[in-house]
Amino acid sequence: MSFLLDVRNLRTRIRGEHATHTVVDGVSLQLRPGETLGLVGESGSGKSLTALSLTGLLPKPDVFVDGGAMIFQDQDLRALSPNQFAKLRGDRISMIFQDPMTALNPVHRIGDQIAEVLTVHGRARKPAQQKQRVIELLNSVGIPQPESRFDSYPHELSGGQRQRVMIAMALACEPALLIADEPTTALDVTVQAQILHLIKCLQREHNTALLFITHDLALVSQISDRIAVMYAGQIVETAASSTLFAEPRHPYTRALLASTPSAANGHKQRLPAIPGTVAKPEQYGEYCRFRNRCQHANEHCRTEAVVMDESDSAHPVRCLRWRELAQELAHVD
Amino acid sequence: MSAYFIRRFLLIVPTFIGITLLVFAVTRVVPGGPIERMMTAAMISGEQAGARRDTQSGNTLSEEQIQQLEAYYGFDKPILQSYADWLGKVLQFDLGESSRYHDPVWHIIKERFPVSIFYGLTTLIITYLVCIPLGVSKALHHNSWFDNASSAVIFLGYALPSYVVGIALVSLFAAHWDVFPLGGFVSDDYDELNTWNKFKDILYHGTLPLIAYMAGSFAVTTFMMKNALMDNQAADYMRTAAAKGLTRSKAVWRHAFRNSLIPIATSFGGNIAFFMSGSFLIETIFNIDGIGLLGYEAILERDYPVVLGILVITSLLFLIGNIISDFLVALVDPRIRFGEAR
Repeated sequence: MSFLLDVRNLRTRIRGEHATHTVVDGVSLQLRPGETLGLVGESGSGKSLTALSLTGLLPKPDVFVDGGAMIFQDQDLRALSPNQFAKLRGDRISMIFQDPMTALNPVHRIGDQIAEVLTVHGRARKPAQQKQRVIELLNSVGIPQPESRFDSYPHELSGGQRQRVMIAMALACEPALLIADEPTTALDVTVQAQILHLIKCLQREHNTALLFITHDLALVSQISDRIAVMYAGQIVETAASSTLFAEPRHPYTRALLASTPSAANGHKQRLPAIPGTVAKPEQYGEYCRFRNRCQHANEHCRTEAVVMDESDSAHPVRCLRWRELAQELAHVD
Repeated sequence: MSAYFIRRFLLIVPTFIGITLLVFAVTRVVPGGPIERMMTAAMISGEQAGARRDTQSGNTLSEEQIQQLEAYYGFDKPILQSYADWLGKVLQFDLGESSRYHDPVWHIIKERFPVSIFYGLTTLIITYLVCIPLGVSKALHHNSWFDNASSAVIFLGYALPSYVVGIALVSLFAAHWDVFPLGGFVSDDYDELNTWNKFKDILYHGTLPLIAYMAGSFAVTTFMMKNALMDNQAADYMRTAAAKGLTRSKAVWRHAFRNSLIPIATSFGGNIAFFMSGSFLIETIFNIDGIGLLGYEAILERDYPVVLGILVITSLLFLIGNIISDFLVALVDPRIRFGEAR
């Protein structure tokens, strides 16, 4: 059972004016070929920085990877030189971003922007061949009249179409791993569903592994095999999608699920919100980072350091009291 | 798009009429016009010759003479009518006759224009040749010693008025060290030199004035380039470029650079006229017979035909320069679609 991507104890830090803060703190995640892992968390939880660490796109030099290992196809990404990393990007590892309105260069034709990926990675060198391939790609992401759209500029396309162009660009070299950072957040709900469906189809077709980053639990359940929940720079719980929804272990995951609107409990009830705000990096410590917002926190949570409990390797959780809480909950039922 | 530019060219006509009519009207109202000057001149020469003055009117010229002069300069007609006469002549490339030199205005301007074109074009070309690469490298090495040192020099040039730079250059390199000449555009024996020596002669005379011209103009363009490139380097599409596998230098060159040229293209047209119309201060310091000096003297001496002649040329340069700017912006930025209904 070999992993395509095996991240161990990834640590990413931000150098501030007065101090350096750890914003991704000991993140470990594994992806098999063709598998989809959803990475869920609030804004500021470090999920986007995790993705940027994996692709070497952190805004240097103030944000940098400071520890851990990122093994991709038996190769430690941390050992790569910037140029070696650049060769990998767009070829073996691709990334789609949140805002398609600004992610494309406004002054170049979209066909040329897609073709550039092929040029950079030495695919389809002849211009005619390249154009043929770009038109194929535009067609595969569902852009109507790809031949004439080749010469369009980004401002001539809608948001959804621009995101399709981004997807075509990301998949041009048939990468082994696709990282999608909130790819549908900036889009209309109906377009969201189409884009999600498209990513899923193309992923199956090419057996691409997908790391899908979002703050939307309902969305991630539709697409992921497994889900990792992130809070304040740490992964607090990882499980198969169905397990996570059926028996969440971490109080944060439970609170998240409870605050997700669903058609079933849509009786004009007020959705429960999680009180307080996400801890800031300078407040991180060795104790549970959710303790101040957790309704189950007790003395232990404030005095005992918490680590990932990996006794159940299929469902690790970072909570001191998860067993007690699970029993309590069982009694209530 | 072409419809837009045709419209812009047609709009030159009313704009041009507006500018010239305004200045023409002003020349008719302000005191000290050519007739008054002539009367003063006649008075002075009359006193010198010891001639009797016309005691009745207090004028040295008789009513008849004044009327003749007014008719000669078209001052006897209403403003609009004499403006129409003047405009009609301009359309036939006749700018009238200088009231000071009694030479055709077109001749006087034509004589000075090569000097201004030389300095204007050279300044324009060197400014862009230096400012764009300089701005790029300053953006790429932001906060390095090179960036800070060049900023200090550029700001010094910007802060000092060009005539101060000019005077400092003349007193240091011409008076004190005698490396360059004190002034002039070419040497007296210029016509006898061969091409290579002519070129050297122009360079010899031109170096100091060119530095004075450019000292102030570097700052705006260089910093426009630097700031635009720095903004664009932080743009989302640069992250996309990096995600595609482009190295940083390729991403800057292929993606950020062209986007950063948009503000530069916008300011290009204005600079054309700005540089071509010369600067009378620099021309005075370096004793260059250019358009700037000519215009300044013409205003002082109330030589209205020359003033209006220079106005015709500079305003046309400005109007055409603006259209060139629009065209360049449309060339680098495909989002610009002038006046097209989409």
